[in-house]
Amino acid sequence: MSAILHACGLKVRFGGLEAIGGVDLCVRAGAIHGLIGPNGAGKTTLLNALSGFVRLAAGQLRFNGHEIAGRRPDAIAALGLSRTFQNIRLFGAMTVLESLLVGAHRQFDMGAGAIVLGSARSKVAERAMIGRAHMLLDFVGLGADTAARVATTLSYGQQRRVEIARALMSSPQLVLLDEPLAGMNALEKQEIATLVRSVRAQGTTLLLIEHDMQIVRDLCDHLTVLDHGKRLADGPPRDVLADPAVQAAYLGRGR
Amino acid sequence: MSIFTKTTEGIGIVLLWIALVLAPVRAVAKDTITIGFTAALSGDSAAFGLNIRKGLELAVEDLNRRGDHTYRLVSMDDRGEAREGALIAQRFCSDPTVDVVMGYSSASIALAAAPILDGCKLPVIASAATSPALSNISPYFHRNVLTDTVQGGMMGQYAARTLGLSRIYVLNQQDDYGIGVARAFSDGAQKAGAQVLGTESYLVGTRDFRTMLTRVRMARPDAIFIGGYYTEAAGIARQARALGIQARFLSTDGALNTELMKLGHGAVEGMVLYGMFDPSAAAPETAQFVRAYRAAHGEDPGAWSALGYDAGKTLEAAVRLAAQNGQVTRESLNAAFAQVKAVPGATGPTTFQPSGDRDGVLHFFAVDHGRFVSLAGGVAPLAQPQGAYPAKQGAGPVGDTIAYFGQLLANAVVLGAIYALTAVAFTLVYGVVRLVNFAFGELFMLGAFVTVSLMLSRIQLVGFTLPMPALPFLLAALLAVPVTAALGVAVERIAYRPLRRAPRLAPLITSIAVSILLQSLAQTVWGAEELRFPDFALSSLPPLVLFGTIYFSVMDLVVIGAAVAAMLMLALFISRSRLGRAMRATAEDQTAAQLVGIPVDRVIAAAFAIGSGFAALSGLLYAQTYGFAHFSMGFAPGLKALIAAVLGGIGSLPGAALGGLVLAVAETIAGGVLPDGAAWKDAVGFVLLVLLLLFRPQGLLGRREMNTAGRGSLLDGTGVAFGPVARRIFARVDAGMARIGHNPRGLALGALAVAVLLGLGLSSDYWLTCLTMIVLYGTLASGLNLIVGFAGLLDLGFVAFWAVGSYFTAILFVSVLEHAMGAAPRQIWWLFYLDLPLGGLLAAGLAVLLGTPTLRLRGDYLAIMTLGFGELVRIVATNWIGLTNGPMGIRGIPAPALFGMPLASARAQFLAALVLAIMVVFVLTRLVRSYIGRAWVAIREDEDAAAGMGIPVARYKLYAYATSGFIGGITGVFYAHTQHYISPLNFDLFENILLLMLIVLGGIGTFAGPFVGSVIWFLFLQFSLGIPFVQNHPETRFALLGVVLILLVLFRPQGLAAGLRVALILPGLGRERPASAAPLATPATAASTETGA
Ligand SMILES: Nc1ncnc2c1ncn2[C@@H]1O[C@H](COP(=O)(O)OP(=O)(O)OP(=O)(O)O)[C@@H](O)[C@H]1O
Ligand SMILES: [Mg+2]
Repeated sequence: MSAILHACGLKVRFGGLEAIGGVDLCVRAGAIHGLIGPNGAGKTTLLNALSGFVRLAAGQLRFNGHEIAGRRPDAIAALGLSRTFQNIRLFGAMTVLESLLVGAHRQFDMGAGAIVLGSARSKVAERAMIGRAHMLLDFVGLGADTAARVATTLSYGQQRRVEIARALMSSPQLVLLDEPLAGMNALEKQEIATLVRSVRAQGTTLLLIEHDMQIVRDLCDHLTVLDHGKRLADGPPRDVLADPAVQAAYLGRGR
Repeated sequence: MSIFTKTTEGIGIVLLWIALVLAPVRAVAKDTITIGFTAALSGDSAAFGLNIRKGLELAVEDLNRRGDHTYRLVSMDDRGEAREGALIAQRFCSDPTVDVVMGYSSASIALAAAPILDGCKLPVIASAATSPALSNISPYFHRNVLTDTVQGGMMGQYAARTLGLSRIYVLNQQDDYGIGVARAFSDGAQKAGAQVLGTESYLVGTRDFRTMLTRVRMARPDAIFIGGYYTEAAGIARQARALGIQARFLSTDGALNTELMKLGHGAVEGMVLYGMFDPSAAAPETAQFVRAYRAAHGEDPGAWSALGYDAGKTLEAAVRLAAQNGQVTRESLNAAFAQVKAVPGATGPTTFQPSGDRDGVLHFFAVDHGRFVSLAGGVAPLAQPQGAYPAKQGAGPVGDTIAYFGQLLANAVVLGAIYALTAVAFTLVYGVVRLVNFAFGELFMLGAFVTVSLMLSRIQLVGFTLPMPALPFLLAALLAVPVTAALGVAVERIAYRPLRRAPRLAPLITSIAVSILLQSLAQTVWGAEELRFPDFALSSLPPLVLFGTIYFSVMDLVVIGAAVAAMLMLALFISRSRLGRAMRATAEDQTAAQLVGIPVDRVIAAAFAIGSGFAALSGLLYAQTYGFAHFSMGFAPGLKALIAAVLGGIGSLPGAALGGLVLAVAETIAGGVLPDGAAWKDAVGFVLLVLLLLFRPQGLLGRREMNTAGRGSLLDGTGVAFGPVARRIFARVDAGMARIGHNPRGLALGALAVAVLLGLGLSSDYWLTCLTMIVLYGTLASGLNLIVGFAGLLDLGFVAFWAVGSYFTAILFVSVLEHAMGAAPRQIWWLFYLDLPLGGLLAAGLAVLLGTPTLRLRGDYLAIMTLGFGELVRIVATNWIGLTNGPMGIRGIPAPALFGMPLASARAQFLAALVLAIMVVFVLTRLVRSYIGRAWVAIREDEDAAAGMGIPVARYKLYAYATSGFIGGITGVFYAHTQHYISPLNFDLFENILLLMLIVLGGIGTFAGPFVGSVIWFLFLQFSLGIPFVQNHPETRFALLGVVLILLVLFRPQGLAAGLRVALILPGLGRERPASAAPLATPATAASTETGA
């Protein structure tokens, strides 16, 4: 299969610190791609770099046929790359339904005039997206009653799901999930893993960060290992996890 | 059904309440004469009104002792604003106990009020409104002061004929008084054979005249006429002498005040002025008044007090006459005013002409040994003005030019030192806590006040005389710095520290509130007038002269030296000391600093202490340089320093120092080179700021930073300190609001029904006008709420949009169509409806121009830029006289009309305002409840997450800013047509802060909040006017405003109406469910859903 995301020689610097030091990454379309590495390895920073949230010091970055290095996050999102955040970032004071509609921002295209006049077309578009939001809530396993709740008052696990649903609202081609399983119990982890699989089953590619090796082994088609901002290994999970260098770097410090 | 009953029940309660509120004012005994007094009693020009009132109070006491009638004084503060003046006039009209109106410290307010008072046949005696435009304005309008034209013309002739002056330079303050007097003076002087070498104008409140005077010096006049008030006249005289200008000073009745000598420090010796009151006159009334005044106030009376006193005496004569003929009514009093002849008074006999003007004599005075000495017995040979130095100038035009620019540069360096010092204060605190502390201007002011207070031997505080230690300058300054620093730390502790983790908007709002609070308190404590900076040995030394042409004082050197030394010490401290290093670490990363054991709270307190100390130091140096301390003195330098800090790169200490110097040089050179540069120089900083943000947003020496914004909004209800307590207090309000919040339509219809019923049912024009104001301010606040409440950006220049809309339609209707083309407003009534959207679009266009460079940057920049923008629009409106008619404002803006039928009555205007408000709120709700509004709220809550959802953040901020500008613009158009008169005074920063307060009070980010806030504030304002303490200290209302704002942000950031959470989806759509359980849409099917939809 072809690569949907192709990064080459990415570098990110924070002052004197080189958080990402020349990383290559290739995510194939339709894959569940895992990104692993010890704490502080630069995984989140890499995700931020891919989605335009930090400035690249060097490197090329192609997404879906577009060169996206140096583009703003919203422009990259508009091309069909969507993401969640390691520390959940839902919009305070918004209901779940409203938050999800923000995720569908790019799907709306009527002008201010149509909105003010309450044109039929704008109402139809609004209805369609509300319908989609309810469907996605159902899809990520949230009850219909959550739609009207203020998102930040939900439980941690529910907030994670809202964030994932929000990221899916725009019908993205690639979703970046930063530790979607963090802080969950075993049952919840299985549920989210199933959710991830069914997202892929719909044809959406996923790149996710995860620390739980068991889940990673089962869930991912492909793994990339980061350490100290460098790519340590890359390949099918079985091979990568067996790599002694990975074990040394990862487990050596993970204790 | 339940909504309906609830709504009607609600209406019933509101109506009952209003009926109680509007119940007739307390009965007053019939033989009591009530004087409605109105003037500016707070703010920059409060001195005139306060003095008139002092005189009038003496007269009233005197009359009450004699006992024919009882006289009662009801005093209202119009704050120098025509809108307030109009409202107060309406209030007097609808209060049947008011028999006569007095006061009026400025013509613009009298012009706005006269037609209203004419409408209810309420007679007026004004005592300081001198504009010729007031002659013949109404048969009910009288004044006991001569017009500018008469006075200025007589002075011109006197100067040329009697004083024998031939080469005169004319300066005037930029308002109708200054311009009128200066024009009349020039005419008079030229007719009498003198030559006018040139004219320059300056804004009231200007402190630094050196640029202008350097230009004057080039012309080598033998006299300088200063057409303005005493504060500026004293400043000009002082600075002119310090520049070696040898001319004789001439000035006006506006300068004829003993304050002139206090503030002039000897430089005003020999100044010749005119006035209507000669305290040394032999008339028994004069002597009696002077005696009574001295006994009551312990000082000599000024002309304005005398005129206030005489207004009281004239009233008594008229009352007697009216009582002889029958009952004393407004009508009979007015008739009596026309009949009384030569009523004796402190300023001579009063007789009114049919035009309402007074016959009177003008007296001429000279300042002689610190006293005004009458020149009545002919002109005694005047002593040469003291402190004059030979104005040696370079030889030839080249030498002149070098001398000119050399002097300008020398001026700039002194100014630059002060700017730099304050900018360093801003930048230090910004660097450490990322907070733009708008209250530094006030700490600057307090530094000056504390120093001056300590240098005196006794002082009047809140009206009480206290002994003071009379310390020498150096010691006082050394004490004032730590005192102010301690205050700065206290402010930080109370108003900022609890908000450290709060969204960025919160401390910005409290810092504005602190600024308002400190300013109002300073006015209460030290009074409304300038406090003279005492002379001391160093400051009394003769100026130093470089190359025979460049003048500067010893104290100038001290200022520069102190500033440089302070900055060097700070640099050493930051780089060498432990605390300094901790400060740098905290600036880099607060959390990390905390982790490595740095006591962040203490470090930040230290930064505030140093910043406040620096502000105090520059404030006291500034006050020393210009010779006074005043409660409003911190605003302009504060703004300049803020601009300087941004110019240099906010957060960078050397940058702030450089920025201060660059700004001072740019301002001074531009002021010296551009035509009418002195009046325009305050706009220079803002232009530099815009250019900088376009081309080098990080500032001259600053670091590039990511566009980061504090996350979260004020709406999540986490009142920082006592959240739970506040929640308990507001529990019932919240529950009620939440209940109606579930039915926004019911709420809107209920509120509308109440408003319409009030509009149709109320009979008092005064209350209808109040309601119109409430609705208009609610509408304006709704516009501001869009950017502040929904998009989460602090806008301090919103009033500029309002001003643009107002001026646009006023210029079109009055200047272009009526005056230039002769069109009758009646025929072009439809244009008003076209102007509404056009004015809105014009404002929105400006918003785009300003927002495009600004909104790409951090949120704080918007606050700073908009603050500058608001000032810029005010400067343009004030100075571009050809377009806007300057401070005189534009009069005669026609009321809106429908098919030629004017909507001029208070009722029609209220209903029209209501229609406008409904339209604005409707558009707002539609926008907010769409993907656009959701994008705004998403940006407010989390800018990064919003960008991650594909929202182009900068563009949506711009949409919000432009839409809010649009609302400001159309409301401005409407406002102009309901007020009929606009002037730059309507649109000052305070109005913006007030609007901000309304939305924070009512509920930020809700549709109802702005209106809730508006209702509460206006009712409070109107009722508080009846409280005697507030009448005497009107500024305390604004102190209260500041306190309320701080408390709200700390404890109840979401405001009163927070329960009315705004749904971001149109009602009725929220419960939409998919028709069938379609599979999760893949990109392809999503597209088809969308196109299919
Ligand atoms: N904005 C920033 N400024 C400075 N340094 C940063 C910034 N963001 C991350 N870093 C540093 O970059 C390095 C990589 O951080 P990153 O968050 O990408 O690691 P991570 O692999 O996601 O770790 P974790 O598993 O804990 O989430 C860390 O040393 C971190 O301190
Ligand atoms: Mg991470």
